[in-house]
Amino acid sequence: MHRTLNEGQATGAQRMEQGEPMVNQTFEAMRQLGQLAPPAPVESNIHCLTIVGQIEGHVVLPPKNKTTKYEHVIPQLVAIEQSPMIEGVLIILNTVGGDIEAGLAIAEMIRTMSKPSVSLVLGGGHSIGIPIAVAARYSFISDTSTVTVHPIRLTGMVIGVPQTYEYLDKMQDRVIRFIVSNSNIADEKLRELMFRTGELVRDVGTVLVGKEAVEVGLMDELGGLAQAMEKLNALIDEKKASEGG
Amino acid sequence: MLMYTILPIEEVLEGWDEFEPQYVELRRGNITMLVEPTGFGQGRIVRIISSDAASHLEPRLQPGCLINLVP
Repeated sequence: MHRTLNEGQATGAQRMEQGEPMVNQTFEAMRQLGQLAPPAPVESNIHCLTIVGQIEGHVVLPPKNKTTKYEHVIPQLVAIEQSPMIEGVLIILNTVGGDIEAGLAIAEMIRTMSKPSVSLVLGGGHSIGIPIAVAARYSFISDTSTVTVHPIRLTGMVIGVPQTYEYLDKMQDRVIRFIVSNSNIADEKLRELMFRTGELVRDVGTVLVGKEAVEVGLMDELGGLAQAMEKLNALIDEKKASEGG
Repeated sequence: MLMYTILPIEEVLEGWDEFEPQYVELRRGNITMLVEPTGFGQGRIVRIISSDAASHLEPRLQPGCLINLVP
């Protein structure tokens, strides 16, 4: 009995040296500890990208923040696009927003992928999370999720000259342009939601809950994981059919 | 840096003046990475620096994974 255990450990160590995925080491450890057998890993043709917390840009945010770093996500999207094994991407969003440049960079990468992508907003997809959600080929929002549409704010030292406001307007416009060109919402409607007063306590803007985001044309459909997976598989089949035919 | 978030900026940047991460650069095979030492000869991967796209999908080398600083 003792011998078997040692043998088991030796194989685990050998595997680690050979560079087998970490996940196998975990399973090995669980097996040796007599835990319940985990389900066998299945090779999936879908990759899941989770975008959570703050979207971190050029400045490393203090550790209190939960962040998604664009320099991690972007090369992964390149690898996904290039990999012959991966046929589609599911993007799960639960974000409070973050850096504009980083958010738009991720959104542009998702939008310009040739592989089908489906996004699912769970919990919240606020501010810069909106361009990322609409960048996918098809977007879902769960019933209880919220989307906050609000204007960009300037923080820190602001020089009180008209140019500052022109700059801010320009930044605002590029976000609006991206959202409008990738969803069914009209420019005027989005601006109206963005600058509406009386909805948010200390700010201008609108909170859209689940169905409302679909009604204004921001998101494509109300749904959850099953619907998102179904749509992604349908998009994959569609792509295969168009390539084959 | 222009932040577009629903959180107040003071909340996002709280503790930035005390936050000084120390990173070391590590090379394994063809992959260079930034690692934050956590003690006991180990470190947590912060960033993968590689032009090979596939190395960013390597499960053992995902940001957040622990790695031995000495191979």
